[in-house]
Amino acid sequence: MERSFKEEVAKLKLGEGETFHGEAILAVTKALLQSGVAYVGGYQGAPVSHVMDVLNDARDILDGLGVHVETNANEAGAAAMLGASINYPMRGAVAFKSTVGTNVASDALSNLASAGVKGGALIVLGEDYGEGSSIIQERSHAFAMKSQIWLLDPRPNLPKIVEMVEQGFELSEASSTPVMLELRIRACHVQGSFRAKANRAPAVSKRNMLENPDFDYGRICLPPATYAQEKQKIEVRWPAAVRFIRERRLNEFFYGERKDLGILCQGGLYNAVIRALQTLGLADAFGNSKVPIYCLNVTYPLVPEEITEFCRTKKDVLIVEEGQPAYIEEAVLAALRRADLNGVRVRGKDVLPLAGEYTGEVVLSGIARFLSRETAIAPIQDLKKKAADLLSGIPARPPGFCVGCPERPVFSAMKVLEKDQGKFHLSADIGCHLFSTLPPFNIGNTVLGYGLGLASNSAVHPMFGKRTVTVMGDGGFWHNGLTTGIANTVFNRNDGILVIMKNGYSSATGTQELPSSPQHSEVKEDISMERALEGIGVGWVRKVDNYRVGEVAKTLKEAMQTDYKGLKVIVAEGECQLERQRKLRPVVAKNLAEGKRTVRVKYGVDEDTCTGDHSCIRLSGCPTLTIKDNPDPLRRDPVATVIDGCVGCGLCGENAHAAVLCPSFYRAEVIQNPTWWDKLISRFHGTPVH
Amino acid sequence: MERQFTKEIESLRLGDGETFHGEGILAVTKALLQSGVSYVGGYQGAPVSHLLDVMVQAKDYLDELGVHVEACTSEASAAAMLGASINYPARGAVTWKSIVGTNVAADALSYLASAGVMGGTLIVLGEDYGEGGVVAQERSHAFALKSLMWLLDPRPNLATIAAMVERGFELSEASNTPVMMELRIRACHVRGSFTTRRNVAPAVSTRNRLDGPPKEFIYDRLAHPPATFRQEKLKSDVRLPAARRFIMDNKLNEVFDGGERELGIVVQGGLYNGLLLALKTLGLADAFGASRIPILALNVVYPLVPEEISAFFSNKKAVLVLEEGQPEFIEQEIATVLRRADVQARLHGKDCMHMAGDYNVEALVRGLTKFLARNAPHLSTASGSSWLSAVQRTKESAAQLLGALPMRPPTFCTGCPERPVFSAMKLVAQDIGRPHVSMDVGCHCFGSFEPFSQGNTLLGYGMSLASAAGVNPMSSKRAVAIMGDGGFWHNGLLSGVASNLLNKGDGVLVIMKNGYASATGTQELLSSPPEDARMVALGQSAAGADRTIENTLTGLGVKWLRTVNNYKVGEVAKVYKEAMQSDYKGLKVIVAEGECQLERQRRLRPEVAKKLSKGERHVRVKYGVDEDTCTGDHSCIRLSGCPTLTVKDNPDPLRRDPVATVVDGCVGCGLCGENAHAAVLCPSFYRAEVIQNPTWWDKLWNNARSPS
Repeated sequence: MERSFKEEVAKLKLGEGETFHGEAILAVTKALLQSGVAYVGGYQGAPVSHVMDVLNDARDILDGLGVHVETNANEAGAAAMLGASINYPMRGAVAFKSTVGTNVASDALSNLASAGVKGGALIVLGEDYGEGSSIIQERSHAFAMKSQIWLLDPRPNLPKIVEMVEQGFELSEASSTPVMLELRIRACHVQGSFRAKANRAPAVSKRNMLENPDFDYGRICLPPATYAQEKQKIEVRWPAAVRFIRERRLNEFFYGERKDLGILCQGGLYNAVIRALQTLGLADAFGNSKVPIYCLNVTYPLVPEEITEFCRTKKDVLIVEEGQPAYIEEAVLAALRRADLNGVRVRGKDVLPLAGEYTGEVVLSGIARFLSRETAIAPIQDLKKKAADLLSGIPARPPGFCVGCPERPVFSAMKVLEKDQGKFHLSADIGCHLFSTLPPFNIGNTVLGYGLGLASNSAVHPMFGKRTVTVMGDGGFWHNGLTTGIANTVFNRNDGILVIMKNGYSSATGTQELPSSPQHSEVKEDISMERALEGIGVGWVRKVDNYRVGEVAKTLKEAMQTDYKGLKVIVAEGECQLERQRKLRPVVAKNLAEGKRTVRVKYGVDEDTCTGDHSCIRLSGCPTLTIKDNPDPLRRDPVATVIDGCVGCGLCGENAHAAVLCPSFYRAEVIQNPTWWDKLISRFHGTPVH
Repeated sequence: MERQFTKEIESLRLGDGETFHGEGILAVTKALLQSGVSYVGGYQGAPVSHLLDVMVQAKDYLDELGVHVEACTSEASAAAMLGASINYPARGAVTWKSIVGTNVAADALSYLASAGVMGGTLIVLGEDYGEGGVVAQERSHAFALKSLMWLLDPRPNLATIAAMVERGFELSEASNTPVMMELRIRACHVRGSFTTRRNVAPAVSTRNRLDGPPKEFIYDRLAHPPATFRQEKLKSDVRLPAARRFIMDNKLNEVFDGGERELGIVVQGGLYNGLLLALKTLGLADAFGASRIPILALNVVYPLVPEEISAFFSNKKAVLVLEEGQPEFIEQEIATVLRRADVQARLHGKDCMHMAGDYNVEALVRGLTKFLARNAPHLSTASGSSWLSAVQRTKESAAQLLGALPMRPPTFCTGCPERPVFSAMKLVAQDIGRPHVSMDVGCHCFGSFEPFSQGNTLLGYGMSLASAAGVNPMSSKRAVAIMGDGGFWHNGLLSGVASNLLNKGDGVLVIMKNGYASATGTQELLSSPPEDARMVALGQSAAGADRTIENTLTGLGVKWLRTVNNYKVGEVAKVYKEAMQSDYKGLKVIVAEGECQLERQRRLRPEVAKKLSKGERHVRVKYGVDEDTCTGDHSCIRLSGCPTLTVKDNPDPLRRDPVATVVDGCVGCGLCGENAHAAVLCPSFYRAEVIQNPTWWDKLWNNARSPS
């Protein structure tokens, strides 16, 4: 695991009246326990990975309360787990990244929403939209409308978020409907505090078990019950939810003196709105606004009475709704039309952009336009222009693999092979390995979702004269690649090459455990990827050590050229370097502190041999392999150099060997706490000794 | 495969100006080939199974054209397959049942829609909504909105459907966006004809291959940041306007004029036939489809074209929007368009029609009547009202007549190999109490109905074991998950089995290994028995001839794995009880083997018929009840529910209760006898061999045995 949450786990124990300080996403975990949740599940992914990570580190507290925690194989499994709340009065919560996770979960969510729930069911969504997002830009809102699931979007402020978790469970129970809580990236990471309550041990739990199952045909998602369930959604659950939202005042009205104006915003955008009003001199530092604000902490369902009440006396109302399409704006317009309120002018996507994140600047610009105060944004625009002018000469700096990453060598091997065989189509997958699409590799033509690489290659392959390649991580393999990709290819008797990056963890999300993580497969040989492949009927499997670039290239070439028809799988092995360093560093530190001798390998470039053509860099992209001025006064081009930070993976040397580059790389052993013998030898060899 | 499409495959070859006769969904297959599709994939499910079934069976012809066909293991695979059209000018089509299939495909669709496509991509959705729908009642429309993909909803009429397939590809290419075409159950099965064009061999195909990836590396085709941010802007700034332009220029939506110019009806294309019938019933349309009220039929329901909407509404007093299902996406969008364009026509929709459920003709007549009463008092609706009251009367008298009859839920086929497993589970429950049973999608969910009533939840295809994850740790008795082999390969292997192993879960999983995706029409699976084993087995189960499921489970690390023969109820009960009570902590998997009876009968029947017609001797096993021994308590029925095991009047004049009897149709699976034995019921069942075309020896033997 990337991070240890010892400190955060302690906060989960806070009792009545104590103060919780910290990140919002961690406040959610505490709020779950305060709500008497019986089981929690989910799938890792920013910005909500920490929910699961913290709870996994807090097993003893949870065991004490009788709360069950499960690391689901994917979001579909997590959503299905909420099925426990259909028949039993148990509260359950799951967390995943959205919209991707909600996509994967959507079938189980449809069935869950149709059946309805007895115990409150809360789905914590990390709404990964806008700047900093790593996925396709869509809104989770559509799922709420599709399945009639309620959607909370609290003001990014810890007490409000905690309250909405608690109220969310009650809303869920009052309307027999699952509830989603969407938290944007910034909301997840906002820091603050709230007054904690004591944790509640759930009524039904691991310590207080169910004796008898509940059989109710009306709760099974099969016809004819499904027809009745659909009617119930509209006739019973929806009105119940609207009633609950009104009675509990989940949405907030902030009054202001400009009664002819109003801003209606998604709760999650409230901070940006109030900041913009402050900048325009229409709000003070304590959040008192001159323009009335209707803040939707529940963005679905809307409460038509509240909307008409807010808009009735106003001339102009601005809707601040992030992303497309403008669901809320349309619903508000329809509500106003139905109520025959034609006097109010509704602005929204005409002054704010349809697509993209509503950052402070964007909201400020929109509100300024709404209030005809365009001049207020001029200074910002000037500043931006100046910055753009200054930055224009600098090349883009795309993300790349970590220093010593075991996935980089595989792409080096592919690049070596490309030179030999020409370019081939590569279907990429979700994971660190997707960095291959960026310079210096530019390998990878499409990405169609987590675990879907091989499936996305299935119509490409038959259209090509030569073989195509798919790359998939072990994370994607267990998420759904084994069924959607491998089973699919074996079943259809397709040809193809699959490279599985076996780095041992779900690494891009923070090295969470997988079924084939070393702690499972190497120690106990419990769940093995290779045996699963064999069991499913893959006839051609090769294992390679990623750092042996020449070997990897040879195996890839063999897969390209073999007469074997059918799926060819190359398991590319190399444990995540971050995880290795995490294990190694404390040991080295301890050894050094104890004065023990330690040897660290580091690579370097002999500057006299370096030809200065930098092929080695174009085959690697390692952040520690860079250039410096040529020390030779007769040569002008910079030479390659390995800077500090090198972890000694050896890729640069391997590449030089496999691609027959100039023989300028050397391997050095840095000896710390040298013995007298080391010192003696060093005198002879001139080895640098620290 | 349930059905052979030899005749339908012939009509795929029709050329220019010929006439195609047949079902709506099969017209789509022909239209795909006319559009020069390069590849086709999908996942089976009513009402679109036939599209893929036909394509799979037509493999030889498609090979000639260079079209690649794939039966995908799930809708996610199928959607991902469309990725081939991102970089290459290859047209692709996939099909599945919606909403469920689109749910499963949602992630790949998001990525596809973000990257955008170069070659046209068409997703044919079987919109399984309303009467006859077997899935959660939701609309695919939401996915169009979410990912900004276009949604066609053609008038249910073969010429329109075929034209919309062709235009759909063009629309997709003109706007670089995947296009979905929703076909409701009735639209898939509507019969008709259209004039065909000859098939177009695709530009990129298995016969005309690409020699390499795009010359230039195009980062913007990858749905990965920072390209994703540009792609989102492209969607609304470029692709959406391009799509609206194409829809307008090519007149994809149709306006039908009528004399009542102050009124109007906007209708989803797919509801057009029902609307016309309703108008005819109200005396407002003739038999040829001419309506007195102007109609705007939306063959494209997303995106709407604001100019078309305002043009239709301007100068009208009131317009009714007919949009099936909830929520009212189209009505809200129209309200927005009208408000922005300042068009004042009164807008009706869900205030006249119900929010949830099918819009059948009866509902449409009711809604139209309400609309007309408010906005057109000059139009008489008397003929509609009298028709409605006639319908009401018929319904009432039917209800009266049927009042006393018990519900008749669907159930397992005669001789189904899945029934005995539930018999065994019922027996064990009597012994150790009822556990929580998580159901899955498949024939086995009939186990939820009488007489078993086992199966407490259903969370989607392949999701049963995952849905037990929250129940099992809280239950004093182990929770049981049932999963079909279809669900196992669809996603149960990972979301269920791998997840359980990772979490070191306890629990019992019963995998129904009947060899096929049977509820959708016995399509092949990765673990279907090999063809030669089926031929050898003939009427017997061949399910045991493939071990891929067992091998995969062992490979994954499942330690407790038993395979049982379903028809041996006592054995199944023993193994099941052992799983429930074993000290072994960890996943316990029972592979319940028995090949789908329908598939076995399909092999057996032609063979038997052949033998009988040749006059050869044939022995058929049939079970029966000895009416003198039968105690009349019908425990045997409560443990089986086999349609051929029923009751008849007691022939004994001294006994009043009816006795059990086995009617004709029994396929001799032997479950009734097994049950009686396993549950220690009265020994009234007998096994009979029915000999057809007996030999002289049979006759002699029979004479000797029977009392003359």
